[in-house]
Amino acid sequence: MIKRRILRALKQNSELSTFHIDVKVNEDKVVFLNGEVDNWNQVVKIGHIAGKRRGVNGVVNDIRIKGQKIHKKDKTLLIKKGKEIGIVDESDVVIIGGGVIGCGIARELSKYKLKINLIEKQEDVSEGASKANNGMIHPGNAVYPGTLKAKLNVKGNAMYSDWARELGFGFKRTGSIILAYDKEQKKIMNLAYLAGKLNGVPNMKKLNGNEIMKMEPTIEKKPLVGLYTPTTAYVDGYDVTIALAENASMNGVKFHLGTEVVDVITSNGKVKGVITDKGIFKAKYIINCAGIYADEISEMAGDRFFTLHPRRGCIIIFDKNKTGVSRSTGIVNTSNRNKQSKGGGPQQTVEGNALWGPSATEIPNKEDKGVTREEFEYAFNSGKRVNPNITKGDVITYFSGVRAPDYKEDFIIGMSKKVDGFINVAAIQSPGLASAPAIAQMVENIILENSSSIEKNLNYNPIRKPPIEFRKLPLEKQDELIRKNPMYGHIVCRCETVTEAEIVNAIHSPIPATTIDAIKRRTRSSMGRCQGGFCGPKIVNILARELGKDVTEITLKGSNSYIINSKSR
Amino acid sequence: MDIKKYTCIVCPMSCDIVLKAEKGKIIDVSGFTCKRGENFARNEYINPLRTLTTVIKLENSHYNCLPVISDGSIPKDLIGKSLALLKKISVKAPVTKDDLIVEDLLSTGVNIIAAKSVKERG
Amino acid sequence: MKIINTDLAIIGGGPAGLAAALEGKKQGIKNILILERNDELGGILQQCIHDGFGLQRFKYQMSGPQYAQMFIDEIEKSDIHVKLNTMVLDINENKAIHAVNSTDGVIEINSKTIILAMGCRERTKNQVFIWGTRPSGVMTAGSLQRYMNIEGLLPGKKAVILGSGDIGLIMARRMTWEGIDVEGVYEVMSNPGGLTRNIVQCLNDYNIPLHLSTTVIEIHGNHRLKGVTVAKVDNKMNPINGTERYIECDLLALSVGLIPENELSKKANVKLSNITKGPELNESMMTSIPGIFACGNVSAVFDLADYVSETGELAARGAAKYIRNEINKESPIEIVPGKNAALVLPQKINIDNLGEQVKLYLRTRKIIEKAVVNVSLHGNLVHSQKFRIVRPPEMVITNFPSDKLKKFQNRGKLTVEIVREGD
Repeated sequence: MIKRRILRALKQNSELSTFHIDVKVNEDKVVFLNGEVDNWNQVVKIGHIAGKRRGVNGVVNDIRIKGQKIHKKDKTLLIKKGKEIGIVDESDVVIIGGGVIGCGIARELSKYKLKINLIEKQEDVSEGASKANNGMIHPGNAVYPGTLKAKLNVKGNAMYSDWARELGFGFKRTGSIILAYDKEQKKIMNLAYLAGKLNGVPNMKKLNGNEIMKMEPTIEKKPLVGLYTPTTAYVDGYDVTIALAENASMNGVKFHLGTEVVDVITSNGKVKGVITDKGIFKAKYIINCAGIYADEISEMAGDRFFTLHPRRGCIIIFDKNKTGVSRSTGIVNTSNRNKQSKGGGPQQTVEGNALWGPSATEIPNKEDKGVTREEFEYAFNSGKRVNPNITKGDVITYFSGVRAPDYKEDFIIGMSKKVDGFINVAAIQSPGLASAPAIAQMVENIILENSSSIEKNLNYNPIRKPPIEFRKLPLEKQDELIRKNPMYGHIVCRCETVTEAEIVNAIHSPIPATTIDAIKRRTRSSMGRCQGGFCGPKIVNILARELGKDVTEITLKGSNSYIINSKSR
Repeated sequence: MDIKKYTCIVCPMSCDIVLKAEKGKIIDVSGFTCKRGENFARNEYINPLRTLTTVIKLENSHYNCLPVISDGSIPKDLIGKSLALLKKISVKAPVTKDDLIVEDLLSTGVNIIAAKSVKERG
Repeated sequence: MKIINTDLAIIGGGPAGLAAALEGKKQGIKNILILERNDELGGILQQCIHDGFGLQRFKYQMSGPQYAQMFIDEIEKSDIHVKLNTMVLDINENKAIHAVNSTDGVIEINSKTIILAMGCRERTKNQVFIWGTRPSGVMTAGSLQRYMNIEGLLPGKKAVILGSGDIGLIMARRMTWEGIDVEGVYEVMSNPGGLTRNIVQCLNDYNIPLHLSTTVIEIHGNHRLKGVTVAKVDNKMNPINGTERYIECDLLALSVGLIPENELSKKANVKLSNITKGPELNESMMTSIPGIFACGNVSAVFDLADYVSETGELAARGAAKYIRNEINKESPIEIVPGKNAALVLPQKINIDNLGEQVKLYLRTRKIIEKAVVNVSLHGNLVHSQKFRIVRPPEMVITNFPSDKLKKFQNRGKLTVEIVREGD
């Protein structure tokens, strides 16, 4: 039935009907697609056609582009290496992935007497989509009612104030506005209102043009109407992730950075552990929070029922000197946008920089994080329409993040039906960041329901104190700090006023910063106008000194991203 | 006849000088505005000279390097050898500007001197 | 909190600030304090180990550190106060300076006069919109210079340089001398940005090609730089399809312009010029805030350190006059860049404030041979000066006796134009 409906839909599509696509549906109602098409957008379109059919529980999309060879990383050598090293630890839980989802779950589970190992491939937490998003804690009116993501979005949004209070990350709950300039846009705005109502978004208000201008005086043109949603909030994704990780670590979770899971060990339909390039970690539960690689991890466990298709988004950050809207203020109906995305627009970071975007482009390669001119222009125009006073001359930086959607475009959270103990927390695209507290709670419940008795961790402390930010302190406090620790008197990053002491603190923090980017995320150094031109050489020296390494070993972001090739003499 | 065009590097005027030579002998130089320019063009034809600036390994200081400069011009084709030689030596702080670092570099009659003063570590 | 009262506080101890300090002393200013964020004086000169400095001022070509040492030696002999490793964080509306260092803690400096001499920062890769990824191995030429000349470190093995300004050209030679393979220098404009003699002794000497009207459009490599894509550009500086070329390299050095570093000036509410990106100055180098002066690269991008030091001296003389209450705060004459003049410094004049000479610093929009600089007040030609050739990368300086202006009314527009002889 499902197969017939998919084939019919393909035949009705003039672009896709010329291709021979092999469709198989198994007893679990998972669709397997095979065949060849001309370009990547067609691969995605077909995947979506399958994913949208009622009753489909997952889409595995193996359709290829004619003539293109898929480059799959060969992990056999790493698996061999891991096996040779042997068992390095045994725990109750292994969490794969140190993004906001993995770290949120780690913290939640650290409330219990569970031994937990979190394994992260990169040299720091938050190196994936968690650091490359716009930091918006969505309210839940831009997401389809009835989906899991809608439910968790609204729930998670409400939980963020507690998270912020306990974890000490930067947080602003200033709401958001959707603008409508004509009747057509007003209709779509009303749809968002309706979706919000269905999803349980509280306190939405329809405002007239004058009321909107009062709230956001920098908007260039007065709109016809606007929808104001007060529950929208703003964070820095990496800031939340680091705070979660530090608190989890303080509560006993062990973090293994720079460690890549290359295989999952199962036996008799039950999970046994994971093989990494640094050895074997045995565990009773494996929680798959591997972001864009979650489909590969699930496949390693022997449960392949979904494929993730990377969707890249470009974000632009502007100089603090130019003030735009203080909250997300997007215009409805950007006609050239990817229908799966919310459209992007202008907003302001917690720090006060204008942030525009994101764009949304389907890409075939998970590793391709480059920014293209087209994606930049899309993100730029999404903000220019509202704040033309901010120009390209005010750009400080732009970057890309890669989302991890599946073809049903919803979250996949649950215990594997095939492998007991293997929990998928996959396909977490936007509103993933907003949903994170609710996702953590959902996974906590899965574990609790699945186990007989788990004792509470009596030493659990939910409070994590944020690091000292010298630049925010009054002069007297700054003076006091310097007397206690003279390294506070040495300003290393002059654009953001970051002291040597803060950088040293970051290096020795619970989740140690060992790369330039890791220090950037914890201190703001290199985030300013000169983008690390002044502080870069200083930070390289500080890292080498504090880590007892040679300067030639210091990297920008791990792997082979060395700053220095060699000493000249 | 050999016609060479040189842009003088002696001062910011960067005069365009034309030098004519016959069988290796210079017969005419034109386009310069001063004597230094004329000499520069002549030297470029016979034996191009350049000022050498580089850094030398520095010890007993929290700085790693000492900038040095040649106190005259050396033949352009000796630059490679000179740099290799200077890469191998090191100097100990304290250093005073104009201190002699290498005397009579590669028999050119030109010295390499310290370009700045550096106190010793402490 | 430590509180210091002084007569002249100079922010920045580079070629501008150093010259200002010594001139201030000569002019009889008693208490002078230099605030320098680096661990030594000299500013950017300390990493400019190449020669080409001092020819105008000392009649002798020297390297940056040598030039700096000329001033440093004199300062060490004087009673000028110097605070190193000290970062100025703020100048508030009452002209109070707040600075920070490890030994004094937070310092408040109340000074009769302030000279801003903070220099420039470099334009970044993001400001020239290079697409692609963000790997290591991409840095500005100044950062590269710091690594190589101060730290003794080499950030790569094979380099591409974007930008043919002097810093880019100098680093082409420097990298070659240190064994880094420089594949080429790429310049988006149709003319080179730096001095011709640097093209000769940095590129031609080493057969390093200079590609004009070509720019870097994409960076490749997720962690480490793998290569760049370059492309030719049209006269609107847009990349031309089909001209793309991939170059394998592990180091991209950017020499794409300097930006006067006026964040502190903005904090002090100093009015900035849209043209120079520095403070609007009068003939005494005084900004819109009485008692605050500016000089050197923070006021406009200069090409020669010698001129930078000159402006430092002008600012110090202005500060001395101000302390003696001899400066008229009004600036009724506006200096306007006329034909072919991209910028003119200063931007305002009060005839009553002038000393013996009027000195104007200009940049031309285009190369003009047999050029004439014409200065007119209220449409009356007051001064003309001929130049064999003027080029955009080179600051043009003209000065004339201030008597030539004294017969005119102290108001209106002073226009400066650069034309070809006979036009």
